[in-house]
Amino acid sequence: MKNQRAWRTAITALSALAVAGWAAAGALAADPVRVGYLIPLSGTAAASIGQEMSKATHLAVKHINAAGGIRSMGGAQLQLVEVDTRGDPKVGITEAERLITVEKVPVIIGAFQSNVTFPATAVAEKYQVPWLVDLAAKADITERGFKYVFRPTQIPSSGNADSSVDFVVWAGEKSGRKPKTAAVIYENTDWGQDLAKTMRTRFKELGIEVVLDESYAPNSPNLRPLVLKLKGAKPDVISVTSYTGDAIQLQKLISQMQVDAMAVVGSAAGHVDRTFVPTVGVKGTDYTFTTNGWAGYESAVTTPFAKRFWDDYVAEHKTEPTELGVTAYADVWILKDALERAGKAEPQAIRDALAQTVMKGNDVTKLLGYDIAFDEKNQNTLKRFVVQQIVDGKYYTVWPPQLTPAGFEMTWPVPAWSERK
Amino acid sequence: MSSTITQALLNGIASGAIYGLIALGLSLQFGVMKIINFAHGSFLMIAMYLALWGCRHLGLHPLAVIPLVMAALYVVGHVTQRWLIEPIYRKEATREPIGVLIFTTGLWIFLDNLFLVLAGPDFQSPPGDWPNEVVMVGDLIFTYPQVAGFIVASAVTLLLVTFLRGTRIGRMIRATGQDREAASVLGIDSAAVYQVSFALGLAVLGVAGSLLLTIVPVDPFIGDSYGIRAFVVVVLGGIGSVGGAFWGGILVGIIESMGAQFMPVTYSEAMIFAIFLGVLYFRPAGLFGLEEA
Repeated sequence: MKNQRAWRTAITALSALAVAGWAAAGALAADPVRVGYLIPLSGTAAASIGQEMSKATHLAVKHINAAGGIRSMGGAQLQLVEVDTRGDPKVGITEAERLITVEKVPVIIGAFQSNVTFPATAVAEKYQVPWLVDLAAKADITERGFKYVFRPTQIPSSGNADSSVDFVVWAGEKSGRKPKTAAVIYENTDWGQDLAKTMRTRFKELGIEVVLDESYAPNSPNLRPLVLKLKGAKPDVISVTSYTGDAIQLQKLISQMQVDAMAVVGSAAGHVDRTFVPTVGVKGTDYTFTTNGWAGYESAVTTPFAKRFWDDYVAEHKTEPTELGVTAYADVWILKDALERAGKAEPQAIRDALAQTVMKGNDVTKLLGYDIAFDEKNQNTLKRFVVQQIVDGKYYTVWPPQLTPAGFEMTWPVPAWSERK
Repeated sequence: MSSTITQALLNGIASGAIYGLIALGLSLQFGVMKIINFAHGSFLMIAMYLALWGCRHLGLHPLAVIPLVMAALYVVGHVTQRWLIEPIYRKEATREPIGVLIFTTGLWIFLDNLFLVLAGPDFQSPPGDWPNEVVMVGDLIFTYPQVAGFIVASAVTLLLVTFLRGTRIGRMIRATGQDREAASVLGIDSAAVYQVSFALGLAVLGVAGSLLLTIVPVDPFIGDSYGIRAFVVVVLGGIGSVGGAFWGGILVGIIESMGAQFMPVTYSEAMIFAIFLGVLYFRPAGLFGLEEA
């Protein structure tokens, strides 16, 4: 009997020790930092975009964790709590609430679409949980002056138009062939009108006369009448703000009807869609300019950091990332930078650290092509669109000039259609 | 006339001929069966994808695929009428065929989304440079597809009108359209006539789709905007009038093209619909249609 009791005591003591040791070990390997991630993965035209971004986000988490996690938090690993918004604002709102109140995440990244991001970020603001906006461009997302909503990798769409006009002025001065007139063609939507408004104002300030200012209904069955009118107006510069279908139709007609100008400048969107060149054809797209959110492989994948991202992404997914994947990848690293400075996985600490973010000339900003610092509305005002020229079906960054790949010469003004082979 | 205006007029006629051709089948189907086929735009989209497939995988010229697409659409039309529309139509024989109208609306949404899954959301064009080749006459520029579109569309319309007037089957179709009861008393099998008319309407649409593919890229929702335009054309031309549909198409093409030279593009679009409403109100039989009792 006595013996038995002794054994029992011994076993109890041993278990107690084991439990204590276990707990101690647990405390050493820091709790993971749970990161809420809202992104459209199904049920919307943007699902394929969301999937690319999600893949890149997962890759960033993997790279950060493999390199020892968040050092200031004892090597805490990042843990992604990913939710499919299905492109539905209602889902975005309820899931943001759930992530914060049930999953207890201290920070959220998301959610690509403006119509989802705009209302969902209001939930985060209410609960005082910081939110990193990825690519949603609606101006009001930061214009509301929220304290917990940060937009490091996107600017309102007017920034797209600004870059376009800045480029036109720069190219005119550099070549000595300054444009005197411009045409502004845009789709009749909030987005198109926003850009057109900025261009109209900027061109006027610069003394460039807008000789044609026309919108069209998106997915127009026939844009030939518009292009004929464009040809008659004989502008020096043609600015086109369109989504894919219309961008393709307009560019085809511009080449077929031989509308000559110093330059045609697209506003990203349709002009950087991967189907733009194949559908219009290499000849029809030659020398066309477009703004773009990202400068492309030759200009931006110049560091081992960027190379590792690119190679691992391509190896894993058998396809090359675009601006979307690049931005999503960078966003996680921007968060990592803030987490290191916050030192603890608490919303307020992360928020304060994010607000202090200044990234200049490091691996992340070299990959993105612009620096990061927030203004009083938590908007990164340093983000720029680049301008690219399409030659032989490939996009080459020509502005800002320091991002131009070595050996590439911009053509401005572009040759007349009748003089091309 | 300045060259821009001449160009606008001729562009308008060329686009209009294709609008007319797209509307032809719709008008025929309505004229004979008194049903409104809301899936018309979706069938146009299918014709474009078939033409694309023919160009890509059989290596055919964009014009050489026309007979193939025509035949394929004829079969699609026959099957749709015989196995999908006819059973609903028969049940509702004694009243207005509302069921068919709702059915074709469902079919429209179903087909658009089916092709979103099958073909993906991307815009696609046939390979080769032919669609971008141009003929220049002085200051005027026309693409090969514009010229081919006008010639083929006019020829097909002429053929169809001749067929309806000059052949026995054509007369049976017209008789059934004028008075189904009387036609059946004369021994005409209206079910068979319906199958032929619906299939014929889609075969013509097959030609239109093949031509259109050389002008605009195809995507699963391309039929929506052209489908709506086809309804406008049918109403302008006179519902049920095949020749009228062609002239209605030309008229819409000219308004669209010329109007845009004098006012913002979006206004000329609005003008087309204003004329559409005006015709519906003041001349419901259409500008080129015959007044019916």
